[in-house]
Amino acid sequence: MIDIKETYLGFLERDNQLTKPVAAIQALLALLCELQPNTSAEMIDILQDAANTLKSSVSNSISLSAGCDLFLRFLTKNINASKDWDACRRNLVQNGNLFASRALDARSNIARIGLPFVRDHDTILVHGRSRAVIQLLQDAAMSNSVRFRVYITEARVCNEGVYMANILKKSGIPVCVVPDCSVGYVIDHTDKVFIGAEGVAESGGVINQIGSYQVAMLAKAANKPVYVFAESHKFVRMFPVSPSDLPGNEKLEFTSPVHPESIEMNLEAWPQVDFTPHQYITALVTDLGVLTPSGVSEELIKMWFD
Amino acid sequence: MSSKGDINTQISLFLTQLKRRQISGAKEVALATANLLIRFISSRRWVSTTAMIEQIRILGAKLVDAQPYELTCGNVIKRVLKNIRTINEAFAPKGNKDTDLEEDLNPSSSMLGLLSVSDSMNTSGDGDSSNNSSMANLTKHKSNEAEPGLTPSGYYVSEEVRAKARDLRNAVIDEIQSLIDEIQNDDPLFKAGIDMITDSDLLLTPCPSSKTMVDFLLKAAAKRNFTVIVTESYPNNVEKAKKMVQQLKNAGVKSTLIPDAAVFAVMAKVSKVVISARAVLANGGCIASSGVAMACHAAKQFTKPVLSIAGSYKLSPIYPFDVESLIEVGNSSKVIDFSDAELMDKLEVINPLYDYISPELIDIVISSDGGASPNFVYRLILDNYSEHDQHLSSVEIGAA
Amino acid sequence: MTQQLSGKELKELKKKQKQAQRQARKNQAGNQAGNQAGNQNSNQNSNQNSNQNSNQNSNQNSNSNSNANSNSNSASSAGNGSSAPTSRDYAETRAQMTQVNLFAGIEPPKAIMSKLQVHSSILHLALQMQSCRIIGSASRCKAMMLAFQQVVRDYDTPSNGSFSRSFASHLSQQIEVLKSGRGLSVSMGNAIRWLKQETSGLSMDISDESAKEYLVETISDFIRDRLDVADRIIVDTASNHLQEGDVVLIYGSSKVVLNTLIHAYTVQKKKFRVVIADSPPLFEGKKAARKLMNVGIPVTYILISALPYVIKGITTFMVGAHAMVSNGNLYSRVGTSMVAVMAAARSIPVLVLCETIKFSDRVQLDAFSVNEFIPQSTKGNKDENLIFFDLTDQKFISKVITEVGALPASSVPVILREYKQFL
Repeated sequence: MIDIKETYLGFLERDNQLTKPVAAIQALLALLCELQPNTSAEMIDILQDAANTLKSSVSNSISLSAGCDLFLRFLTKNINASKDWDACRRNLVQNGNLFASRALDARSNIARIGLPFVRDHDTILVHGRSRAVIQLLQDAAMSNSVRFRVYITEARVCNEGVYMANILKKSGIPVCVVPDCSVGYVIDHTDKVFIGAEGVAESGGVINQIGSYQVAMLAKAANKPVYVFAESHKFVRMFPVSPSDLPGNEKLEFTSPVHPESIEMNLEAWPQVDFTPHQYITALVTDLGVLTPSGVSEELIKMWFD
Repeated sequence: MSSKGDINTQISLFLTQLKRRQISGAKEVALATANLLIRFISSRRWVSTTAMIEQIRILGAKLVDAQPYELTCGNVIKRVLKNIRTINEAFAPKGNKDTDLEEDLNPSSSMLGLLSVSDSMNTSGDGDSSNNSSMANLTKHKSNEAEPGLTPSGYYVSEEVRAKARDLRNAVIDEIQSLIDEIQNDDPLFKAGIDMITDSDLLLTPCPSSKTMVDFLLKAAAKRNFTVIVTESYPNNVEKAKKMVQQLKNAGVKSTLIPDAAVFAVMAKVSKVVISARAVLANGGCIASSGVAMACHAAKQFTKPVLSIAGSYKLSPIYPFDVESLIEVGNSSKVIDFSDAELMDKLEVINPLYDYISPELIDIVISSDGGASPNFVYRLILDNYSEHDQHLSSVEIGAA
Repeated sequence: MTQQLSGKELKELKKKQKQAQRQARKNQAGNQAGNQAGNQNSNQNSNQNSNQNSNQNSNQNSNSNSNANSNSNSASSAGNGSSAPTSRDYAETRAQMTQVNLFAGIEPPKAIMSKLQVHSSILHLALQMQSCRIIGSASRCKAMMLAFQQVVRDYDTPSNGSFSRSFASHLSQQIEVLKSGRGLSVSMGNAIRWLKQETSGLSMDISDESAKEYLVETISDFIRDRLDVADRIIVDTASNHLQEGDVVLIYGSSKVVLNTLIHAYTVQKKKFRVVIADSPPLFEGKKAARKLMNVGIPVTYILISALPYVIKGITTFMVGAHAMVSNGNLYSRVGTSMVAVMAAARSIPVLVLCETIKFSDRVQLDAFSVNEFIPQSTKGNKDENLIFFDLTDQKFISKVITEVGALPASSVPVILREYKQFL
């Protein structure tokens, strides 16, 4: 049997446009390909195990768990609905590639729906690297109808701000990379804040690269709108109420007198994501349209409770 | 067919009336639009719903362009379009086995659309999905069922189809008729609103220009014993404000007029702020007459509840990307009259007629369907309008 | 409109006024031998009295009036389709029942009381203040101090008393009259307290002439130090806050704010734009607009309700004060709080320009406890809710600029304590 984690990481490596939930779905599909289960229950069991293995073996698993959950939920629903579970399996296996392309479509749909959010003379603050935000801003720049400028935070722990800035700069967008500690300094000169998402929680709150929480809080304090751009397959059925509720975020260590070595920053070990509660978010721009945070909860409720 | 010339005159007459503001006010425009649509639909023979939707969209774009600030005109057209689409689904021949199957399998959450696989997916997935809207792509059953039903009937016209078209026309006109009834009947709206008001409330309303508001307060006064503070709404609605206070007093309602500047000063005593929206937007925010936003800001400071009253026809699928474009600016001579002519020449004087009120300033949106939190309005709008009809024309306010 | 049918309260009020006026006329009859200005004044006053009197007359006939009113009311309500009243009594009681008294605790403006020993310049001033021809806390204070100088000069010590003691009671009478026209502003109250202290501190030994000379001089010093120089310092400090390209929002027509803007524009040569928010019935913004346009500052004029539409581009909100109360809140022209809230919500700095003479040691929570009504004679608008002031919470105020420096609003009581001897 294939190693689910390796497959997952392989998918991510092969295609840098692939999001984690979709990679997880692809990995589970690859497993499904190999399986020759006797009953539907057996199939579900194996996949469930694989999903659990995947979730526990990868750090920062929230995003991929959204994909796993979505996939399993879909499978169970369809198997319960139709008698012919094997046909259903075959269908899924045959259409594996379609999902990836559809996930990409979702992103371009977000860019299309989100385009009016970029207005002429805007100054937009972006935190972290988000493919959805990149595509939106590129589309906006390409449309030639709006001129706008972008502040990009350094996003130091993940170090993706400069990378993102270079991408946008190539598209002819005026960018300014600001250190994470300077968000308060620039927020008054900002019109709106755009962030992506690793996962969107049931409340409509957002799990994203670390630092998003403080950016959103500052934006709220300055009365600037915060828009989240996220594909609907990132909606995840969890409901953290504070950043410490996120799985995998270990307790941070304080110095103690018994270890006399000098202080060093170890960013590798630092939590990669934080949670931004829904009250800091103005709207979520998804492939399903522009949702208020409560719209996310509606979609999740419909998926799990009908 | 005979009335075709007639309907064209009627349309151009309506266009002029809209432009010249001979028809104005949310309700009047909504009713006039609905009536025009009835005449328009009954004046022609429709071979298919596709054609009907197409024609109504063209007409709608014209009307919306004629008076972009009267959002209810567009709302009514979009509501009718949605009704036609729903009717069409009912009229469309039941699809083949696969679509039936798909319907059974289809998840109700749009999220699962990512994974939905069926035969139809393979065929249409490559063709339409790229240019179709995401919603159509993901919630397959809606568009898939609609499209095959539409296109074939558009091309061959059998007697059966003709009969069907007649039925369709009647069905659509029935729908519009009931929409008109809904617009005219404020009772459910008022009933929901009165439930929110208690005895000995001290209400503040910054909307003296709204007839709905006057009617509502008079109606509520029959059931509840409350006091009303009306803002003067200088300069655009001073006379209406005075009239409103007098009307309320005549009906035995304790009421008084305050200058706009005193809104914050009196807010400490007010128990609820009641506003009448001209339009409720997709994010739960609303458009109301100038001065309302300030009253809502004041209410927020004192954490007093703000109730926004709006008939369902005021729900508008527009998202306020650009707030300025939604607000009409009026005659500045109302602000500075001719006795200060020398000021007029040199000053820049601005007289906005409306305010945009962001959803976080509103506590409850009361519509004909009952009360809702502003962040639930998106759902009401999805229920009332089709995704495809969000914008009728590219220059429409709020369009991309 | 709401007062067409006079309430019981209103009648009582008018009765009181009438009595006061009769008293005043009697007094004036005895006061005929004044100087020329005094003559003019008493003429004015008696004119007003006769006006008030005719008002009173019409009020006496209020029975017949309200008859007519209720008739027209019932006619209009019948036209409106609501239930028509059965009798005029019903209409009257209903009119009383539908009355709302939002500001029940605030005293409505009264007629000016005149007394025997009142100096003509005080009477004149009382009239001007009542009709809002002299308006603004600082201007009123200055005008009052100048009038007091006149009072001192013209004062003759009675043969049996000492100057300092008899002048104190004379002064109190003047103040009494001044107060009857319009309530004293905080700055006036502070100035009066200071003047009384000065008077009582006068040595018994010095001659009347030198005492008068001393008082006149020290009043001049007071005006110079506490008002004129204070203003100049504030203008210097505040104009440094303005930057090239700013859009400054002002509300009403504060003298020190206007001087700041004019100074920054004409002396410091800064280019900026001003948005004036205004409100009825006083329309002070028009006065401000004229002053600013005369020096060439580009001005946008809006009414307060249009603020949300223009607020996006605004960089600073500058406002004058009637008073700063000791819990740090700003007591200023009604509407200021609304504008400040809107500005604070957009993180636009709210700067209050305020001389320390306007600092008050009272604490205040809302606009209901202490306030004044705008005298209705200024505009034809008959309504009971025309209040003069409102209270802006200190959390909306970024900075208070005074002649002793810029401070947070919470430091008002500190200034009051530390500088008590000077205030």
